[in-house]
Amino acid sequence: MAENKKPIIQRSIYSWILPGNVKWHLLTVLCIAITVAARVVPLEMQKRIINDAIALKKMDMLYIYCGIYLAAVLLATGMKFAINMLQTYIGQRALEGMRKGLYHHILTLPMSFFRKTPPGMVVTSLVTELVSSGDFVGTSIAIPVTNILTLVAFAVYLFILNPWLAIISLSIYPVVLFLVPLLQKKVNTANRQRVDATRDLSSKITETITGIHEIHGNGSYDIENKRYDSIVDKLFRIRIVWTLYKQAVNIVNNFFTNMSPFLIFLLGGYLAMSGRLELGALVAFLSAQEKLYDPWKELIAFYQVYQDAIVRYKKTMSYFDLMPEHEIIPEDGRKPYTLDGSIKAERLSFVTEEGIRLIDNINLELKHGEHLALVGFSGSGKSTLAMCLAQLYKFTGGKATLDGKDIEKLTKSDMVNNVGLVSQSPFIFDGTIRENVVYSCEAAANIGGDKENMPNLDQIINVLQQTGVFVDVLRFGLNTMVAPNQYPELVSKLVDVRKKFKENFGDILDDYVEFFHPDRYLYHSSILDNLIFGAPNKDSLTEDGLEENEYFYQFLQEADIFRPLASLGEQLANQTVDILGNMPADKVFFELSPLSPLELAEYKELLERTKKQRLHEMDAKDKWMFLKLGLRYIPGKHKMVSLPGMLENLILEGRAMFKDAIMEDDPKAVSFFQEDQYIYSQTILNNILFGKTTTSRPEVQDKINQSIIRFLVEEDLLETVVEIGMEFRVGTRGENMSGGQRQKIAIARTFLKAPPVLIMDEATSALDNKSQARIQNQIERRWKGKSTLIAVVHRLDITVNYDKIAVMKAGNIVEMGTYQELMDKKGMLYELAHGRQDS
Amino acid sequence: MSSHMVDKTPDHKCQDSSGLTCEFSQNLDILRQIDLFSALPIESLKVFALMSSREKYKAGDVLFQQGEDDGQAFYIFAGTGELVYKGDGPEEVIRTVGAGQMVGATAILGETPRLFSFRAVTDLECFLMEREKFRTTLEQFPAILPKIIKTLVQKIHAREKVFLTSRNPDCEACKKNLGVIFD
Repeated sequence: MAENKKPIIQRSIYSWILPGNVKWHLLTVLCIAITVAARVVPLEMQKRIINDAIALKKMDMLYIYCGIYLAAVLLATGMKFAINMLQTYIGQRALEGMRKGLYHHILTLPMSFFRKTPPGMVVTSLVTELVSSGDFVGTSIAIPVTNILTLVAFAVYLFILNPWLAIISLSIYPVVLFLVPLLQKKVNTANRQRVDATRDLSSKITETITGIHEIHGNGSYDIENKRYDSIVDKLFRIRIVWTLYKQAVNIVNNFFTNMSPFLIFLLGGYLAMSGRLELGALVAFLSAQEKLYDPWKELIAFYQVYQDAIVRYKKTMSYFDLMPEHEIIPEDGRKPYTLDGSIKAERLSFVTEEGIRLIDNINLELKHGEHLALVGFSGSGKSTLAMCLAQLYKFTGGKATLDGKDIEKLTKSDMVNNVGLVSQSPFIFDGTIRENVVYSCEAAANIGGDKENMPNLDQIINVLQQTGVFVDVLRFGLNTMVAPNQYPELVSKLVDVRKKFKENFGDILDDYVEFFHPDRYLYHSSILDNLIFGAPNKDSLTEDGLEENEYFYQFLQEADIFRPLASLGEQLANQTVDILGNMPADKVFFELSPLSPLELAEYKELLERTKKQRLHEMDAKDKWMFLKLGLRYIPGKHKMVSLPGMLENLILEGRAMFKDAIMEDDPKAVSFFQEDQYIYSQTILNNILFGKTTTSRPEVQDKINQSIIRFLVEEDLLETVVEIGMEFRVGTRGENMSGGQRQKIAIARTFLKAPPVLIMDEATSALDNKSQARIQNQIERRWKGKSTLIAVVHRLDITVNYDKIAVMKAGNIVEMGTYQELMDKKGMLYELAHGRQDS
Repeated sequence: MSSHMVDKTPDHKCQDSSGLTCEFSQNLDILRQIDLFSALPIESLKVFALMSSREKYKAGDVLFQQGEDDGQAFYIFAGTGELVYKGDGPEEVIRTVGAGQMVGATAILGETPRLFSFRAVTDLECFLMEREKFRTTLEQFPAILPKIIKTLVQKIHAREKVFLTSRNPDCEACKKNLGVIFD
């Protein structure tokens, strides 16, 4: 099993066949043997039923033979199913192994590889190209073994029947064996071209999609279409040739196998006529010969699968045939080093493959705990230097050491356990905030670090505070709707203290909060919420359920608001389609729209269809579509329509009517908003406020946050709400958070790891001044003297307290010293700070 | 009631029977008065009008702070505000702004830290647009970018002219700062 130890890209396709699968292959062959036997039984039974049972009129024999016949058929069917299962299992297991192994390998490849490789390429390789290899492995033993055995058996049988005829009928197979590989070679060539062209196609698609703004900006549809079309044309030609040759293999095979009876007729007929062969023997021979076709065809088909799999497998593996630049875990099994943060670089250079010198002869020395700022124009090599020291780029000349050890020779495990990196555009992965914050610690622990060292809740909350993202997390918590029974203590406590909150903070928040009050219209809630004024406990009172809810329709009619609402809905649809009709399905555009992007087309069609109709002329479904929009209308949000004062009054009246009606008919259907009850259909924040905020302005949010935090601290609920906030799902690439929040989370996860070396590449660029200053302050207070810091910095004002500042230009450090020294010198830093003074 | 009389073409003057005009059409009217937007096609203005929001501020509120990059432009409906600059010395009020004026429009075009702060003197009602929303909308109407650049160039030109003609002729150092030079 030495093959398994090899890197996956060097393993041959055959190495997937046997290891771990021997017993499954044997079982498959056994099943096939049983099937063959089970197929013979019915033939024999057929004979016996006619000859023994029917001829001799033996009823009991008929039952027995028929019983055996049925059993054999059932057995054969069952076995066929089992064979398929086994082949699928073996094949899918191999595919699973290939997919996992290759993915694991790809992730470790050097950064330079990913700059050249479009993601679409990796996707097709992992998703589609390997499938045929799995299929091949699944059938690799059973099909050839059984079919060759069957062929040999029938061939021997033919020889026994008549050697001469056997030789003649088998003579065509060498011809086929000669021709098919020739054609298959052509198939393989075309197949290789197809793989390449498919890759080009996916690269092209990836490229256009990533650069779509440029295409829109330039209106370069034509240029891009031509480029894309030419690849599709090429793929078209290749696929035609590929398919033609594949068909040719089948046709040649069919032709020659069909030639075989012809030869037998010719020779056998001659022999029979000349009396050297009995007619019965000729017929028997012909029918025996027919049995050769099926196994032969199966073998040819298998041969094609095999060839196809080999081509794709080799192409795929060779594309990724690269090794990681650094060892991942130490080979001798030692623990990762515990290093101090002293860094030294001597004549360090980095030249790209294209020969561009990004950094040139850099000399640098940092003692443990020293803080260095790298400044300079963009393109001066700041980031490259940081990446080289973080081992992300493999420098091409010179030497760099960490605690006296060569960075080049350190393993990834040593690096991640001693160096924390915050990149320019940090990546936040789908998952909860908590998962993203412990990400670095968890990774370091999994790659050889100390598993006991995972951070606890207090430590996590601590870094959230240090990086200034605590309030954001709290906010996520406050915006969560909790399910009944999820946090019973929090819920009951919040209800208990709600009144107290309003007494203490009601005045401050009065301008920014719309408190729930049975006699007040809620301008920041939908009309439906205004009517129901509570949390529905039945699906028939949610938007989706209302369509079928006759009771509610009746109520709307009685309250005289059915027609005004439907009419309002029509107006909303009209305006929204008019404004956003041609906009893409982007969240930004539809934030303030009552229609979701998905519904836009539906409403466009509806408006077109009902253009000439009055409301009363429309059918029930169309009326409902408009009514639904009317019920969604939020005056404070959907600005394309205004709320007529009369409708507002009718809705307030309707609210009271609805409550009376429900209390009488179905009191459990709604939990009305009441000061002494938790509202599960609203967020924690709305429950505390017993109302809704009316603006999302940051400074107002700050004001509300301050009040809420003070209140939560007093009531000892802060930690619970933050914990709820940490379970907030950040979305793919953290799309549910702002750029600043993402950056703060990225900093938090590095701070939490607390490594002896911190490398921050413009890590605070998306933050506002206050947050930036706060983090800078933290860095100076907590990390100076404890962790070495290399920070690529864009804004000069935060570099004042760094131990050293290195100004870079064109890949060189042109001056280095403290802020004061360099300013006094009036050199490059001074120029950067004050702008170029032309004289 | 014959159906040929039905006319439901949306008019952005969304007045209802009580003569109430919706916020959207008010926004649209304002945009058409601002020179940065006035030349743009109506389809794009409608989207801009929908994407902008209206806010109320109290006297003393700071709408943006010198040195910050908040990326918002404010159009004042009602009330007065002041632009405040704080150099090495004590802070000074550079000018007062009032209803009908737009403050900080360059912020929606690109990243720049504020050169001064904007503070409400009385209660203020503003209409504001954010850079990210402006940009995303812009991407959908690439054809309007040249028009915006044109307006912008005219603005810079006018600025330069004012600067050139109103400078103190005795100030030698000021000469070095004349003209926008790219290097």
